[in-house]
Amino acid sequence: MISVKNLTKYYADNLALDRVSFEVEAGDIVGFLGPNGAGKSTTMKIITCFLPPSAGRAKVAEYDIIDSPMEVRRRIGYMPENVPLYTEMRVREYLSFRAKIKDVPRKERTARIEQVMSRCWLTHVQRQTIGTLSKGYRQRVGLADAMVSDPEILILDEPTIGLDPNQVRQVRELVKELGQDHTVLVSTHILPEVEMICDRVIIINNGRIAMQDSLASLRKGSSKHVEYYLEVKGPADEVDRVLRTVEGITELSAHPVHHGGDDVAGFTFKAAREGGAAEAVAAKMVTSGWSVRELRRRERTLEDVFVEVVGRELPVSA
Amino acid sequence: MGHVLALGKRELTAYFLSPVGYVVGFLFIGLYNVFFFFGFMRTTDANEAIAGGTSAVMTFAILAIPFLTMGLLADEKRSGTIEMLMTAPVADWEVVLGKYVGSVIFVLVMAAPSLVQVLAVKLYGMPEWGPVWSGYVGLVLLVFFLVSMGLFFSSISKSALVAVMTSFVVFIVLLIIGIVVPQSPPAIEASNVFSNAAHYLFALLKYASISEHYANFSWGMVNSRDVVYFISGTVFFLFLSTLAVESRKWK
Ligand SMILES: Nc1ncnc2c1ncn2[C@@H]1O[C@H](COP(=O)(O)OP(=O)(O)OP(=O)(O)O)[C@@H](O)[C@H]1O
Ligand SMILES: [Mg+2]
Repeated sequence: MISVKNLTKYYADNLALDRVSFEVEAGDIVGFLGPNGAGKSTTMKIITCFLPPSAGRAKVAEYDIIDSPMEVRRRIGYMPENVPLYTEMRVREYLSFRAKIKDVPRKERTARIEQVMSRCWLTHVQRQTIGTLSKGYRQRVGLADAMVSDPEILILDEPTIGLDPNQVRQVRELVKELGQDHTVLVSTHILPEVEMICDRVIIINNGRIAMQDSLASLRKGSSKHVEYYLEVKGPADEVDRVLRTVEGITELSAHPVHHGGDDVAGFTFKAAREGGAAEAVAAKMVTSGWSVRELRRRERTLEDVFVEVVGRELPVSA
Repeated sequence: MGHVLALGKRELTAYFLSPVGYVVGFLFIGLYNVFFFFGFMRTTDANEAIAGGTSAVMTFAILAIPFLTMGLLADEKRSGTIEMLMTAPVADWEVVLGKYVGSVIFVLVMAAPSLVQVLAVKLYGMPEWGPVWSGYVGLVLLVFFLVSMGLFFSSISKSALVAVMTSFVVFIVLLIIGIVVPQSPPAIEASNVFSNAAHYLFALLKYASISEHYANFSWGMVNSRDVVYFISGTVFFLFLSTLAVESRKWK
C-alpha cells in the first residue's frame, strides 16, 4: 500500500532522511518509532505530498507521490503533528469544509460528518469554536478530519500525545478498530502503545531505518537464548556457587531484590529457551533446601529492541 | 470549481469571525462615509459629491486591503494549517483563487454601502450617470488588482506583519509614481540612445502607476487600455502567488 524507496531529504544542508526504505502492506497497522528528530514527521510529510523528497521515490496505492499527488492525497487521511486547525471555525463547520475540499459527495456529506463526529466523541461539541476546545478535543477533531473522506490509508503523527489517560485508551482502541479495514501508519514515542495496537514496527533513528519487523517475531527474538530471573530464599554466595554448577547457564549475575528480607537473593542468567536449564535450576534449589520465590523468563520487550537499535533510552512518557 | 467556492466561502466567513476582519471593515465603512459627508456638505454639484465619495472609498480601500490580505497565506504558514490544506486533494491554484475570491468579495461587500451615497445625492440633484458608473467600474477593478497584490505579498511573507508592510509600501509607490514622474523626461543634452531609454523608462513608470489609470474612470472614461492594466496586473499577481505556494516543492 505504501512503498518507500531510498527516500532522502535535506533541509538546506541538514540531512534529515538518509535513504529510507520500507513497505506497508494493505491492512497493516504499522508503528513508526524513533527518538526526537529521527525523521518520522519528515517522512510522513513527504508521503502525504506536503514536502518533496530530495531524492528517492514513494508510492501510495501504486500512485507515485511526485507524478500523481492528487491521487495520493485522495487516498490518505492525514493528521499532522500538533494538529493545526482553523481556530475561528466551529467543529461541524470545519468538518463540513474539509469534507467539501476532500470531494465527499454532497449526498453523503452529512452522514459522514455525523459518523466521524460520533466515532471521535465530538457530537456534543459540534457547535463549539475550535479555538475554545481543549487540546485533547482538538486532537479528536484532527482525527475526525483524517477519517471524514473514508480514505484507505490513515497517516497519524503522534495521535495520542497530550491526551488524558482515558482518552489515550479510547484513541488507541479507535485506531485499532480503524486498522481492521484501513492501512494505518502511526508515529509515536510510546513503546507500549505500539505493542498494544500495531502489527508491525519500523524504527527510525537519525534519518535511517534502524529496524523493521512484525511484532510477533520481535517478541520471540532472533536469539535462542533468553534471559531468566530467579529469586530464592537462601544465602546469596552459596546460591551463586550452586547455580554455577548447572549446565547451560551463561551470564549469571546478582540482581537486587526490592521487596525481600536479607535472606532473599536475586539473579539473572541466560539459557537456551528449550533445553531444561530452568527446570534444572528449580530442582537444584529445592534439593539444596532453598525455596524458590520466583523464576521467570523475561520476554524481549519492544523497549529492549529499541534500546538495542537506537542505542539510548527514550525519555519516559505516559 | 467546487473547491474554489468552498475555500472562498471559508475565507469570507473567517473575515466575519476574526477581529481584523470586522475592525478593519467597520473603520473602512465609517471613514469613507464621514469623508463623503463632508464633501457632500461643501458642494452643490451632484457628480462632484459622488466622485468625492468614490475617491474616499478608493483611498480607504488602499489603506484597508493590506490588513485584509496580510494573513491570507502568511497566517496559514505560521500556524501550520497550510499542511492540512496542501495534503487535501486541492491544487495550489485552487487555494490561491479561493482565497482571492473570498477576500475580494469581502472588500466589495464593505464597499457596497457607498451605493447609498449615490441614492442620497439623487435626492438633491440629478447626477450625470456616466461618470458614476465608470467610477464604480474603476473601483471594482482597483480592488481586484490591490487584493491580488496583497495576496501575493502574503504568499511570500513568513509573517502577516511583513506582508502588510510590503503591501503598503508597494501600493504607495504605485500611487505616487504617477504624480512624481513628469509627463515626459526632461530634455537632456545627450546621445539619442540615452534619451530614448529615458523616454521608455518614463513611459513604463507612467504605465505602471495606479493613479494614471484610475483617474480616467472618474472622468467617465472606460478605456480598454486601463481595463487591460488592472486585469492583466491581477492575473499576473495571482499567477505569481500560485508560483510562491508551489515553491515549497522546489526547496
Ligand atoms: N522545516 C524544517 N527546517 C529545517 N530542519 C527541519 C525542519 N523540519 C524538521 N527538520 C529537522 O529534520 C530532522 C527530522 O525532524 P522530524 O520532525 O522529522 O523528526 P521527528 O522524528 O518527527 O521528531 P519528533 O519525535 O520530535 O516529532 C530534525 O533534525 C529536524 O531538526
Ligand atoms: Mg515529529
